[in-house]
Amino acid sequence: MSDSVLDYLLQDDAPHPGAELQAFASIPLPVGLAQATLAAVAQERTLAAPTLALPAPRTSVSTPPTASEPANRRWRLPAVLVAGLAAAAALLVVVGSQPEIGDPELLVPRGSEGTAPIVHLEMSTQRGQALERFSPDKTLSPGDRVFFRYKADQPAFIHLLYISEGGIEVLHQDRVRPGQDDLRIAGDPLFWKVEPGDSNGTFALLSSDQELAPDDIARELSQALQDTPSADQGESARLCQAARRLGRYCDSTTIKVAP
Amino acid sequence: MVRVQSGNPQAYEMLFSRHSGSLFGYLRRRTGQDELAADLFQETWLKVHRFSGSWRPDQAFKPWLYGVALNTARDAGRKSQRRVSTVMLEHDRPQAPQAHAQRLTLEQAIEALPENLKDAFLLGAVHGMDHREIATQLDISPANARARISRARAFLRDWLHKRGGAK
Repeated sequence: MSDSVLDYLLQDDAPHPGAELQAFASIPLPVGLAQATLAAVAQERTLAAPTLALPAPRTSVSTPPTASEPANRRWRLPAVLVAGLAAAAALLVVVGSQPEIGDPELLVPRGSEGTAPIVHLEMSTQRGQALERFSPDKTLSPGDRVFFRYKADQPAFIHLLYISEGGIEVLHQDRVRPGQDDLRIAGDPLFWKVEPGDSNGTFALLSSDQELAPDDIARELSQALQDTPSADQGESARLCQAARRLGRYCDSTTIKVAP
Repeated sequence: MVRVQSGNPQAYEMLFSRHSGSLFGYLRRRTGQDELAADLFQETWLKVHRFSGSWRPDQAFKPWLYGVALNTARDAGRKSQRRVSTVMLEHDRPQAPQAHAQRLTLEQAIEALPENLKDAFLLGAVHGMDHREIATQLDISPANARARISRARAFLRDWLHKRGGAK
């Protein structure tokens, strides 16, 4: 390590050492780590490869990269194991053959609503530092965050979807235990951040007793929605009607977003 | 990153290749543990793959990447259990003996930094993020970010001075 790097790291007013700092910043990877990481990513990519052109992934769902958990959150949960996610991804291969889109006769429910685990979706919103229970009467604005919480009566595979005029997106999947918990990714609370240009939409939590590939869910639900008449109770109810036709338990909530 | 979002594996590997050493350096210094850093490294890149859709084109990739890594590391810090299988760890970084000793001492000093100062120091002084980017990552003000880096430098100088590695 050169003196110029050491000077820069220890003194506020030392000149930037340029490329030498980059050399210091980097540490060689342990043997095998790069290959193992790329292999893990390739496996996920292969298992989740889309078979149809689906709506482009939405850009506003993420794990919070910087914000710490809100201080006034009441929910504390067990971690979601990355190893569990990897194993869950591996299970995606057992979902069976995929029906051709456009032919409702080939849409075969896997499981039934009668046996699908009962799940409920709860949401809370965070505006600024204030976290409060979600109210469907409340209009969300850009910058607001929506957090999610599930209740399940038995072990279940849960699937969080967002349905808007942009299409159906599977935001999150997990295998959960009975009880209630936040939806998390590797331990971090999952949130939806409202962005400028967002419009009204519906969040839905579906359950199944087996692992399902996200593309299968989106495709089948999209097809089922086409065959489901409008519901008096609104789009949220229609969505769950369609999901139940596919053998999923469903709970959904529509959000209003300020234009 | 736009090509990564569209599912281009070559673009992903290019990003991986470009940022891996630096990212591992950050995680290694933040955690002070080889195996934990390797776990977090792998988990961070899996998240980059899974949530590439959350990156916006008006964002610089590097701060976003380090934000994912920071969040992953914070989460790991809240847990006591290991979450990712490990890989063999063999470092091989040939250096002149004197430089090696100097580096080791500095690494020890960095490891001794309080966590809030360490994050700001690593992100800003070592990995080149500006105060605004650090502020975003750490949920503090840019002025606070600047102050933390300065305090971290003072801490390192003092630590090295007391242990004979004075600068």
